[in-house]
Amino acid sequence: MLSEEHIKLLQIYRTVGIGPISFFSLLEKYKTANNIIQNLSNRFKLANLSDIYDEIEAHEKYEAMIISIFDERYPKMLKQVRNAPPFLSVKGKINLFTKQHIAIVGARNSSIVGGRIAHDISIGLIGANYITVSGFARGIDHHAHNADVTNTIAVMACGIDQIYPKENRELYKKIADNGLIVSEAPFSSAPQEHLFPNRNRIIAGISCGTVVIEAASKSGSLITAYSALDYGRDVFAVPGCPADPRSKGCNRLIKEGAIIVESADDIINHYSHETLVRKLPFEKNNIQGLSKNTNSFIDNNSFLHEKIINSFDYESTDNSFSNIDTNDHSLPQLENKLLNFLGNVPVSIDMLAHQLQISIHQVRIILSDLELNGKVRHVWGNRVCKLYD
Amino acid sequence: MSSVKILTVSSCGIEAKTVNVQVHIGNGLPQFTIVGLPDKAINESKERIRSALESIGLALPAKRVIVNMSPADLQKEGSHYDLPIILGLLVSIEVISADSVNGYIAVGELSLDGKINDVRGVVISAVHALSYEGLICSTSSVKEAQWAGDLKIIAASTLTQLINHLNGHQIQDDTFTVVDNAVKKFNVNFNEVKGHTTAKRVMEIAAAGNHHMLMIGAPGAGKSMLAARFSTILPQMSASEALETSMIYSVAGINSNGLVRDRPFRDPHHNSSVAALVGGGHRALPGEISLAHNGVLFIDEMTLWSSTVLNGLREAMETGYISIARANNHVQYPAKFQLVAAMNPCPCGKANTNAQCRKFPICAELYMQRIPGPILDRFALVIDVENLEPWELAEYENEKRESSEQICERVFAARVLQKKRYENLSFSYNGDASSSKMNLLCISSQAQNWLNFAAAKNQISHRAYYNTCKVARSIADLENVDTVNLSHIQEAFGYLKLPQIRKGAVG
Repeated sequence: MLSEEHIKLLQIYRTVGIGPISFFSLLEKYKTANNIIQNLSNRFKLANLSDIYDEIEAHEKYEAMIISIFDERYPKMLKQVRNAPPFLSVKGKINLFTKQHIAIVGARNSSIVGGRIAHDISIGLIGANYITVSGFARGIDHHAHNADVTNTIAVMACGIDQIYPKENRELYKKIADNGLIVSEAPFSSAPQEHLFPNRNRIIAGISCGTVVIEAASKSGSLITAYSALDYGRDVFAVPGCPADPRSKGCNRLIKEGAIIVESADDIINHYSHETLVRKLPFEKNNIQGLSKNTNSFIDNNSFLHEKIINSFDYESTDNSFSNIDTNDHSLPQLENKLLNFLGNVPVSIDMLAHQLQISIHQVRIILSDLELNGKVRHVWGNRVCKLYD
Repeated sequence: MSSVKILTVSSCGIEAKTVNVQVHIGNGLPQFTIVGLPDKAINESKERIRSALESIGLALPAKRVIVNMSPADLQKEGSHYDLPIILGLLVSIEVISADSVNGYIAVGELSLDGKINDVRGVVISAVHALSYEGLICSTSSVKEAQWAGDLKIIAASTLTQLINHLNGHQIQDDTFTVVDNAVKKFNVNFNEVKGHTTAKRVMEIAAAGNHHMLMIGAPGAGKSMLAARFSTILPQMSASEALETSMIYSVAGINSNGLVRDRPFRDPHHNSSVAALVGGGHRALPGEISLAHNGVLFIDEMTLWSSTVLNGLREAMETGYISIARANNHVQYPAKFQLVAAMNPCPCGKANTNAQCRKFPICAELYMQRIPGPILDRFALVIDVENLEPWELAEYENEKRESSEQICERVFAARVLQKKRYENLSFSYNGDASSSKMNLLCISSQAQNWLNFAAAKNQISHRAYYNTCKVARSIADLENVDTVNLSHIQEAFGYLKLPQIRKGAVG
């Protein structure tokens, strides 16, 4: 339950134009909520207090709650981040925040093999007492969460009650019941473009390390990776075939010094070694050149993070809003979808149909044509792989 | 000095010929001779007849008894001649009247105590008896005999009963209710199979169009498990099909429980001989391929079969019958079977898993060569059965799975369409369609063009080309579509051959 002071702080934070950084500088300058409200510039139109009470009530009804950064349950690692969200909506087992976290992020259009790797790494990490954190998107995120819903934290870009993407409905329910769902956005807010980089910084901020699996050269997953770097956390990357565009991002991270990962053991070993040398993993600048150690609470001078975010052509990479109709079963659409699922590692045709959720004969029809056109190749054991130009 | 004629049959394959059993009792030294090319079993019947007569208080007349079986140049074999011979004797010693058995076909074997036993080939005799007065046989043969149709059957379990009936002392019930064998309940079902989506789909197509299929998979991948469920999606045989199959079973002496209603599923062992598989032997009995007539012949571990035996299948796979010629016999048996074969991909069986050995891929290539190319070419549907990993099995745990009954319904509907299309032709299913009747398949020009292009690119044989068309037709039938479209052809082409056969064994 939020105290009256904190409710007023929430009111300030919900004011349009005040982000975490300005929030903290205001707080540092004026110390109390009332002071801030009195001295607030006319440029800002203070949020309605009744709206804040409504929001808190809505949370309670939804069996969720808002915790502030001053709350001892607030994730420790995230607290260290200069632009940490002052308030978080949470739903589920809040004690998951007390453990060590590793973020797993990657492509929405992940290949079947990529999804499998995400799954295996999640299982491995959870086996070593880590909690996985991811962004509740399609592809890698989905697989990372789905591996074990009891030990995962889903960070949503939209309001905590909004399920996006829709096909993750079942997963949402499972995580809400067994794991933890987190969001920074106000209750009921729809998924909007600008919220996604914010979500990515929370994912990176909660975790002591971020694993990137299958990320294209300009993708949201790289924002998460660079946020992690910015916060002085470790970045791990699973390498891929150079011919696959989905490997470009990961391979680039590796070139820049990210830790190469093949299985969960690589991550676990990294930290077991580290704890012998230093106590806290985030104290170390382990990526050369790009590392920026920022542990101060408020750091107005650091714009690296923003710069990185701005350098991404978000619209072209995040097609979450381009309304892909997942039920569009027209042939060219399916053909693209199917090609997305393939990589240079052969996958089972049956599994392809299962994961695409279309009938086996449709998959067969498409594959026949694709093979004749030299785009895929059938190999032993009822499997196919992609042929790159 | 009397001479009596009783009718019986001699079967040649599943065809029957009427045999006239003539008994002559003449003066001379007492002797009992059977002439007319009898085999050992018939010659031994003398002893059975003598004892059977004694058991009911009669004796062979102390005269010269000659039994002739005409036509005299036809080799006769089997034990069913006991009954016509003893009936002839009984008429000639005036125990029963000649009128009472006139025009009946009699088949049956005698016990020493006068019991009448069941014999093989009753269905054939019964069908043959339709053009005569009726059939006299053992009670235990009735179930089989009544399937011939509207036939008068006199059945008795002992000689005394039969004599009493023929004399009018004790009437044997001659109306038998037709007992339909209950529909076989399978204790396996397709909804128990996790994953294997391709295999299930292909089995449905194979069942719908009677196409030959080959499954290749690692040991334990589930080939036999899938094959065991194949019968569950085959519709029951039609009445005429059932009669044909029953006649073969009858010749082979396998079936005594009435008509065979469920499609046969024969799975001979891989060390079977040519004679066991295609038929033959001393009496030119039907082999496994004929026993699988209108049903399925499952050849497990196909690479372990000798190529001589496998090559024996070639003609029958095309023509639907098998001619067995022996020095003393020339028989033709129907053999319209559907071949379902299974094999490992290589000697160690791990070629299509992730644990390939160091001999791969050459070992797999050589292994595949053990199967005669022409046999391989005859499979319209070839699939890899996946070796599912534990996580994959778990993944499929919650998928929706269709039951055998649901699949069977679609297969049945597709078969009805085919029977209508091929009415008055010598075949009734897509898989058996002759290449001269390709115009009946209704293939759209777009589909044809695609296939021509694909065929040229992959260099497939003419037979494979036609097989693709036929499989595509079955896929269209399953969807109840009149024309074979591009999508049907594309799907069918994907099942034609595996990459390892198509392009050598390079993974």
